[in-house]
Amino acid sequence: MPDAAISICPFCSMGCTWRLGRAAAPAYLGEPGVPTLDYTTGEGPNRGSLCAKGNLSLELMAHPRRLESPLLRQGDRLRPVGWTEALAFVGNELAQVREIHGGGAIGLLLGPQLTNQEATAAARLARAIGTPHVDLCEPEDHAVLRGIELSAARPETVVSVEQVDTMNALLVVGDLLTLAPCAARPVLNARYRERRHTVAVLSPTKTRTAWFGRPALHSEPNAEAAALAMMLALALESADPRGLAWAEDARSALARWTVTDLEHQSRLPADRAAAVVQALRQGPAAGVLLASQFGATARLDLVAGLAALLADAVGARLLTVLEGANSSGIHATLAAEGYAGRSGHTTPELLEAVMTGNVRALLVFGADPVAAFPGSLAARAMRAASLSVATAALPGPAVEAAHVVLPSAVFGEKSGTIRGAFGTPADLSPVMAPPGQARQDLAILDALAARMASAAMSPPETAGDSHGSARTFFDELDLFLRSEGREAASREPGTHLLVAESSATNAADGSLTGQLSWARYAYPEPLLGISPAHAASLGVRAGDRVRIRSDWGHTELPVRIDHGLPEGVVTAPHRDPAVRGLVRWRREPTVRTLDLRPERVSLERVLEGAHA
Amino acid sequence: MPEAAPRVVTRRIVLDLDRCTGCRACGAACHVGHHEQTNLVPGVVADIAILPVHCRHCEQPACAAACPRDALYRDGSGFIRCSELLCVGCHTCSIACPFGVIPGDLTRHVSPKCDLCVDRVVAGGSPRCVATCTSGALSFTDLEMSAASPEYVGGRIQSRAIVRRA
Repeated sequence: MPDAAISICPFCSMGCTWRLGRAAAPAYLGEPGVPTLDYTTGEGPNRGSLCAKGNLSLELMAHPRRLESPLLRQGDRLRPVGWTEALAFVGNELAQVREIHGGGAIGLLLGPQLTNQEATAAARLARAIGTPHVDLCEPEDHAVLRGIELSAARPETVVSVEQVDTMNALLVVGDLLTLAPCAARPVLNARYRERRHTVAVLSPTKTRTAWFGRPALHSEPNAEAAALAMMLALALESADPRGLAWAEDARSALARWTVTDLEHQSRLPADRAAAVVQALRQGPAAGVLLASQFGATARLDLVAGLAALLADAVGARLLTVLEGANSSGIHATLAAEGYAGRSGHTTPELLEAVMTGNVRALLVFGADPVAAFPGSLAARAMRAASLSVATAALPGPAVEAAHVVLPSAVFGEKSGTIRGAFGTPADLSPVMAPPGQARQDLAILDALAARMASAAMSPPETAGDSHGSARTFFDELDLFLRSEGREAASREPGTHLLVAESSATNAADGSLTGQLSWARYAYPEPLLGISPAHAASLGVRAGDRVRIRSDWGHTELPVRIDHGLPEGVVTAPHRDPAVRGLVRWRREPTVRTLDLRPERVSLERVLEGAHA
Repeated sequence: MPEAAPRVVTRRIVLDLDRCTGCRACGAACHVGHHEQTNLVPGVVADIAILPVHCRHCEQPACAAACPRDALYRDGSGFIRCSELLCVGCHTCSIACPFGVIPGDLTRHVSPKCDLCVDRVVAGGSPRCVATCTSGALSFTDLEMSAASPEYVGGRIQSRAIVRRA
């Protein structure tokens, strides 16, 4: 391995470069030869800086709990086996499932940290198996990518971080600075370069990003789509429709809703929205920055599509920052391989199909569907399947549910190409070898494909309408606005909306990063954020425990007072196992993504706890 | 390789309040660089903001005066350092510090006293927390230059731009 190497941070799609060096002897801060982070690189969008997660990524490589050999489930226990035995077992089981139920009874789920080459290999394996079911297993990113695709908006994209530095009007949708802290520098550069610059942040709660909004556009929780629809309607009032293929569909769809209706539904004053649209239109360098972490919204697909349409309408550039390092690369690779159509199941559909018996085997590569999706359906599906295989670097909920676990490499240990938020492919260079018998997912996929290739191949089913039409998108928007309008009117007093925590989720949310030592130090346990007024009415102080009840479950969490929360809204890290159980599994039948809408919950104080 | 002759470093860590987003990357970098012992305190401002609070390496350090083992000393660079051989982890420095910047929890049974990443600084670099800062809020600035700036108030930069943080 080289003495120093530049690679990419695996934790979001910004594509920050990581420079690893070797600790020089006799530095007391590091043992000689152990890779250390060197913050001197000026390349990449981070320009030398790294967020908390990036700083901790070295720990993943040398983590004491790394999986080092394949594991085979026997009863409740996982038994270590060799690769030959594990691959033979998986190959035989897959062949058996395919023989009895057909190739379509096998589904592949791909994690957002796989490389483009691994996505291609997954498509190859799916072809060898003869299944159309291959999907990106990252609910938020999937919804955002699908929403932009369906909206038919084709705005120019931001191609470098320097473009953001020099923008004079920005609209940030979602909690960008929590998802990608390294985006803070360019956003604040744009914000402070000129006092009159607009950096609007659309958010229902005072997220880390919303603190820096000028103006901060606070909408009703779960009504960001209505707020953006209002902004789009305002933008189209004076837009020149030439060149916008979707403008007519949009006009006719939005004609059913007056600006006053949308203002009422989103609780965002129309004059403030109009001022932001005006600033974006006047440019000359305007941008819409979209983050796949929202904090409080249901229909990420609609929000993402509307943000893209708005950018297109006002001539602004669009930057989409996703939670997965290579979600957009995997999405594009699968589309190029013919797997983005309507013929194959999406991840939530696959998990449901396992429960109905239509799909019998699940192959999960580098993903954790149990942690990523609400409720317990994913865990039950993985247990109920005839065969569930998971590749993983560290133990987690998916490993606990899988029948076969194959140890895989993490980002600093593999080579390949990924596509970050700026659209340019970046090369990964390995700086360490994977521990024990762990292998790159590419090698695992290829080995499985070689085993399946001996059987009869069937080509993938023809790709369906992967781009959809703007009309479908606007029909969906119309349905959403109608149903949300009704739900808002029927909201019971005394209930509160539980939305995804925006400050702790990235470090200690029960997913991979939750296993890092600093995350445990900084966030020892999940906390329920509530507003000061709400805390006073419940009679609780910071550290006291409350019981949270939804229609689907209940749990207890200690309280954190959050001055940024509006009345009636509480937050919790949504990937925490206890919180997942409070949220209902809802799937949108048309766009087939998961609807992560805020759940209605009631709270009661449990007992007097220690005051923080 | 012979060590470079020590020279007094007059630069200190300065925080621009208008840029800090509370991402806590500085704390994570400190944690990673110091054997999983974080040497800087996250200052929570009435649950409104989280800001890193750094050791100022005072001219008259109360922590060093209070140490019963004389484990805290000023090194050749002018930094207040903790001798890991002498320190017994008694917390007295943590209690004596008027700024509350020495964390109270001991991961390694010695005082988690900031050493300004002296290994990096003597080589011409900046401390890890400054180098990793995602928003450009932390800088490693010359004290005299900072003191002459009207925006500099006690180790912080204020009012560079009009920001409403709350």
